[in-house]
Amino acid sequence: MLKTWNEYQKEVPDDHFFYVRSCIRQTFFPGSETMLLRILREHLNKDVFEDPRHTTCTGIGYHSDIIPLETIMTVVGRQLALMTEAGYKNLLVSCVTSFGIYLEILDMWKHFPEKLENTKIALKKSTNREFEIPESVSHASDVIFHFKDKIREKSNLKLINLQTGQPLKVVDHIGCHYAKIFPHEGFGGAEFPSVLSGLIKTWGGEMIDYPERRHCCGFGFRHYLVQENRGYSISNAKLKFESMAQYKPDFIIANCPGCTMFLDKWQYALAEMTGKTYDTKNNGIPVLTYEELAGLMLGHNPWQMGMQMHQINVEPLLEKLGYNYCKKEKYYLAGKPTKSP
Amino acid sequence: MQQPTVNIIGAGPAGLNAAISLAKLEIKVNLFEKQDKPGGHLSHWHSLFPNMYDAKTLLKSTINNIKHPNIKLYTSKNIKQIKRQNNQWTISSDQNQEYTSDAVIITSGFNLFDATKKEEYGYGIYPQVITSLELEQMFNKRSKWPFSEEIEAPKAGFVHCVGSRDTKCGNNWCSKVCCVKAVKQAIEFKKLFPKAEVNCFYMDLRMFGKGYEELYMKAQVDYNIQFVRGRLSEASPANGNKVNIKAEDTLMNRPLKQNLDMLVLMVGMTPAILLNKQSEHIDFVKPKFQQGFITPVDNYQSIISQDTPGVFAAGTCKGPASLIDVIQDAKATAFEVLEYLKKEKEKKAEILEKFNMICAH
Amino acid sequence: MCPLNFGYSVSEVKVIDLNQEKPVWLKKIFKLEPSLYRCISCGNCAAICTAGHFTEMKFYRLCLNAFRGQTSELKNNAKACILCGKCQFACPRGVNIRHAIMLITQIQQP
Repeated sequence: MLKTWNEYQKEVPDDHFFYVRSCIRQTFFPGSETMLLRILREHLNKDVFEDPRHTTCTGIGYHSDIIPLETIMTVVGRQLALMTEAGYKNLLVSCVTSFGIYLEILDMWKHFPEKLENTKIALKKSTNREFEIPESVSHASDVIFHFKDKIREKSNLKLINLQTGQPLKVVDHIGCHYAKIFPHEGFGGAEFPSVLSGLIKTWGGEMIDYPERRHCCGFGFRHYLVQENRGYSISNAKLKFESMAQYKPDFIIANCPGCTMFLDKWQYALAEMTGKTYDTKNNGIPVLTYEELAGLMLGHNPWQMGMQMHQINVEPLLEKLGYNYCKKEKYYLAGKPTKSP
Repeated sequence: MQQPTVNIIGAGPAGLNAAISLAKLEIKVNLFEKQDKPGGHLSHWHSLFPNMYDAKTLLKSTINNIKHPNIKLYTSKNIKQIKRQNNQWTISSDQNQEYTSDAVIITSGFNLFDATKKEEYGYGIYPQVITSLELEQMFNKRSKWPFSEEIEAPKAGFVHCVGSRDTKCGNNWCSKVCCVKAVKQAIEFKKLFPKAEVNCFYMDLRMFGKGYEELYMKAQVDYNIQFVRGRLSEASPANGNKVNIKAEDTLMNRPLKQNLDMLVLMVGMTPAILLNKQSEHIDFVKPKFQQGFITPVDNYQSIISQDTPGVFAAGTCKGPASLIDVIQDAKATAFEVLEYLKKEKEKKAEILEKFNMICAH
Repeated sequence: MCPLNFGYSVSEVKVIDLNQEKPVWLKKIFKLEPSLYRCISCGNCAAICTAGHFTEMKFYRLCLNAFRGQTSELKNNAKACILCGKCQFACPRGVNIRHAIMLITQIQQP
């Protein structure tokens, strides 16, 4: 029997995934989701199916009190119907908000079977579709965690600062809806999430457990959506930056679309508002998605992964890693200059 | 007539004191202990509240007293069954040895709450987080401090009610002794590290016993120990081998944070689980285990149930109690057992008399 | 550099940081009036306080704030005290309240 949550391991299927994307990730971290698919398909020879007809899970609207429960249940039912029609049973979710939504709705259906029946009827009436309950729900970071050793075997890179010879210091941030709603659905539960720290440790970096590690990034849906409330939102991010800055981290890794975006963009906003950056070189702390990091491990071109779209310049990190990349390509990927931000 | 025998299960303070009292009353005692030494939890303590009495001295004198011709001590004996046979009670051990007696006293005591269950405090994960038991071991110099020897003014925090008054871990009761024990330990710590900064995080301070409130004031005035009303939400590692704690200061109406060199969890009392699980192995007419503790017949007597004559319970197997309470309870139980045995003897004599009368006719 | 206006601002942190060293003058107050340590925030002083009817004066809160190193309002709130001394009769733990108030209002603060 496991004694503590920090040893807790979640079960992740080995193959045959039905992938559902995030609404916002492709704007802020444009290469990440493609990277995941390429890693699974090209590097690990896994079967991942994606249906272009799938839609938003409406989670942001749901958490902002715009979308009613019945609606989101029907939308979730439709996504599952697409999966059922394609013959898949393992749901693979890109977004932590969606991940939380799927788990929450499935749990609700378990406890209130009449709600499931109503959803089935509503979906049948509106789309003539039928769905089955998935056998497993995995977050994309779960899958990267599951294959972390395989990725290490295929990689020539180690998370070491070549300038000092020391392991890179990494801080993580786990989206609140990853395991704080259903601790059993995340590696390490709610208190000791290891889904990202496990990657860092396996790939040679040093993981830092900083005091505000479990603090929310400040996203909070209805808070940042209203401009007047954004001060509250950014203050939470500030608290996290101040807590992690004392460890001089080389980069932040996050597994939630909103958190990754905020941790990246808020550093710029805070620098403008307070004049403070949270590293020693006035650059800010680079923020990476787990797919981008896995992509670097497997030798992918950072600019093809869209890392030039980050608010915080990632080049100082690439220098530390001694990463082989072409500086010039940053804004000249397609052979002609892309617009500089 | 033969000298009556009593089996006592558990040689902690309750079992030891009950045995001594019964032996003095010319009753034969078999005392069973599952550990290899008698003493129970007392053998881990350094000093005792409220007057800092040396625990080892008390343990030694108690163990000396059981060296009595009427007491037979069996160590490393795990009792798995209690059975009623012809007005007598037979208990059997793991090794299937059987011991028959006229009465049984259960003094199986308590287990300390498993602090890993309160995962938010990081016990077993962060070395700076220790239990109150481990702190006693440090006072006893049996283990090392969780911080560097170079630190002259360590910062320490004590969390009250860990595993007590907490429905989240299924323990609704107050463990009674942790409040004053935290005060005692904080003082002891301050004596060893006069420059230390010590904060106690409490929900209520329950200084119920004689001299406890005085000890509390002493902690405040003479040792400048701070008491913060509010429970910890979490502990996480902080820079420089420290642990960062977050709590709500409910009197200040504001959250609070601090980096500590040592965080002591005042772990509460839980029933001796084995006994609870083995209830089917005990021949009670109506076994009663409220919240896992043995429930005496009406909370005022040590006898377990009126339908189960001859089985008694003493000490913390009935619920959280201080050492003083336990010793008094054990002695009182011994007296009750004596009364019970006398009555049984009279009953037997009566029956014998009737039998003789019938035969005479 | 003129900070950009995004239409919102950063909120101040409410958290009491016990890592911060207490100022020397505050430590001196505790040294000169150690009976302050006796306070258990029962509130008897505030229940009886004349000034408390009209001002923010609550002695037990002054005490709490001092313990937690929150000194910004300390002197100002203490000034409301009219030194009648009723609280000292009421205090179940024998804190020398009047002397403590005198110290708080009169000690040299930077």
